[in-house]
Amino acid sequence: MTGPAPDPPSLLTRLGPLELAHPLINASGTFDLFEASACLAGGEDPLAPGSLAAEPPVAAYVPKTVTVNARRGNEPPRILETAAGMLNSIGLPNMGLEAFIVGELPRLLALPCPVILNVGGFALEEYVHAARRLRDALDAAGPSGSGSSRPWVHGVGLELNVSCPNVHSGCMSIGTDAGETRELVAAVRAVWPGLVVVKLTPNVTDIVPIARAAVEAGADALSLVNTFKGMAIDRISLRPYLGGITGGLSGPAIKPLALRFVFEVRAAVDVPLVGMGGVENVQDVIDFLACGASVVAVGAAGFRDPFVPARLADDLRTALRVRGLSLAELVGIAHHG
Amino acid sequence: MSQGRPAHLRARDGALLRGDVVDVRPAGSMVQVRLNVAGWRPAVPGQFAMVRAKESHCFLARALSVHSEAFPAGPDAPARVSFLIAPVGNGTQELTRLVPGDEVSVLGPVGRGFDLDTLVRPVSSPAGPPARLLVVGGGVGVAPFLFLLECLGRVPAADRAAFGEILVLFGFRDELQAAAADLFERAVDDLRAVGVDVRLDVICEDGSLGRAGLVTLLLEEELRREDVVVACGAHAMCEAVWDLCLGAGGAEAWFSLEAGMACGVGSCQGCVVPVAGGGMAKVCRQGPVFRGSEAFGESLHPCLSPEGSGS
Repeated sequence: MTGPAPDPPSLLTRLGPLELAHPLINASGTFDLFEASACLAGGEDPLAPGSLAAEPPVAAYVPKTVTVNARRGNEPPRILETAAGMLNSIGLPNMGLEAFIVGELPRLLALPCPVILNVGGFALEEYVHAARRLRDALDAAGPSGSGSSRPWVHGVGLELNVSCPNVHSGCMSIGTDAGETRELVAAVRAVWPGLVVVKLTPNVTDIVPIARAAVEAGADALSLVNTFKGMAIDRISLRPYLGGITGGLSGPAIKPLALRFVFEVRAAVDVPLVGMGGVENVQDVIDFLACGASVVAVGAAGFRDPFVPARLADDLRTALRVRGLSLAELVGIAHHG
Repeated sequence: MSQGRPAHLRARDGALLRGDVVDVRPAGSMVQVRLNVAGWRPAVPGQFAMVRAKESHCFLARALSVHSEAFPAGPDAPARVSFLIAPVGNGTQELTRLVPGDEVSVLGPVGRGFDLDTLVRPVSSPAGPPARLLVVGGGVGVAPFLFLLECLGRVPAADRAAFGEILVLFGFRDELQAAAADLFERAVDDLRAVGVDVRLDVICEDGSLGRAGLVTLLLEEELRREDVVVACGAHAMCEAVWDLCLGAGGAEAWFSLEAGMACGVGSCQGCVVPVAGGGMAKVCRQGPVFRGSEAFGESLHPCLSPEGSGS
């Protein structure tokens, strides 16, 4: 029997005011679109036609965490392969907020996909300052200036990194305390008119009260999860291997752990979730979606191949067609008795 | 969506190239792995690739210097790319256990290689002796220099006149490791055949080939201020080579540095090394080849040079 070919399943995904062509993005800090683009093109113009940045392999791009002050990052060695994954102790090296606004933001806004800026801080005031400065810079860059109508909120979101395991000042522990998380999210919410995503740490006894606090304070979405704190011993010196002593574990080793967090948080809150942790193949994507993530981020697997998210989006479309499911039907399906 | 993207960057295929193992040949305690790689763009000596077996027990690819490159079936056919691997860890052991026909993924060539123009046209003072190129390799750090010598053999005769002589100085742990030097004999002969004055000198730490010592011993005896040095090996060796260059009055030197890395394309920030001026540089992106002054600064390392200032 022949008939019109069925429409390919739509992968369009909403994340607050952002519209994503598909649900696959990158995890912050695991993919530098401009660096990778320049390396792979063999040239220095990362936005050249046909380059990676001109056709991003992600539906939205999440750059690395920016902090108010520039950071050098942790001493090497910074990474180590482990069984089914890797440890990293990078330590949030970045150029600092003002240099980011001048040097990085313009080319991020030139990308043909939404951008979710990621900020970290060492005190509530730093997050608020960063959100305000970024808001003002986006207002100034946009056609309509400041005011109630801000077209950029459909292209630019903000992710709050309250969960980096590799910065030891103590203030990155905001995400381990429901009260501090609530206060921080409320304060940022008051100054940031667009999407607010809060990236939570798995290094807590119970994530649900923290997730609830973030949502009650106005978070539009939650990212689950950052890396699991771990360490390794140098086989020669028998001392800690990583320059930062401890590091964050990522890769397929953490996928079952991350799935559990997504499943539990989905049952407790009613905002979109960005699921991540060891995503390598389409079954991993399906698992996170089934547990209740609307968006799935690729982290460490993107180190092997920057195109993984694009390929997983293609594979997801095929898998949905084979199963006869829509994307909306798949999201959260594991919760339906 | 892939229209306009270069053939090797189609979204569906990704950035990874397919490599098929041609042969795996032991060279003493190291192993030469040769691949046919479809879509490989011509590399520059010093560049590297991220290589991983298709069926792998390792999560990450391994960064390997291009050891040799050829296009035996023409520029549009798969390239013959070889890597020299010291099987010291899980990933490198896995790669040296491959057999012909096995499939690997290859991302590359990437990184900043040696600037051949600078190497073949060194600035030598008119009064002094002609500039020489000193190629210094330690252990598996000799890997990129086969490709370098092969490329120098293809430099047009008119440009070759610019360098007087090439000295290849290799240091190995023991005789077994030093067997890798045999891989370079043909390239050395080819250079001689086109009229280049080239000499290969090998030293082992354990004295199994005569004198016992590090490659810096050979370098110290040879190095003159007019020389141009390229070096690759352990970080400590590179620092010692740079100290000798400074001690010789400022010979030019380029170093190919090594660092563990996850991605090879500037994303992971795992491969950084501290560089002159207090910053950090990504070995994958700003390197792996660095100018000596860039990587190590302009002053001697105090612990290695009690004489003090090198200026």
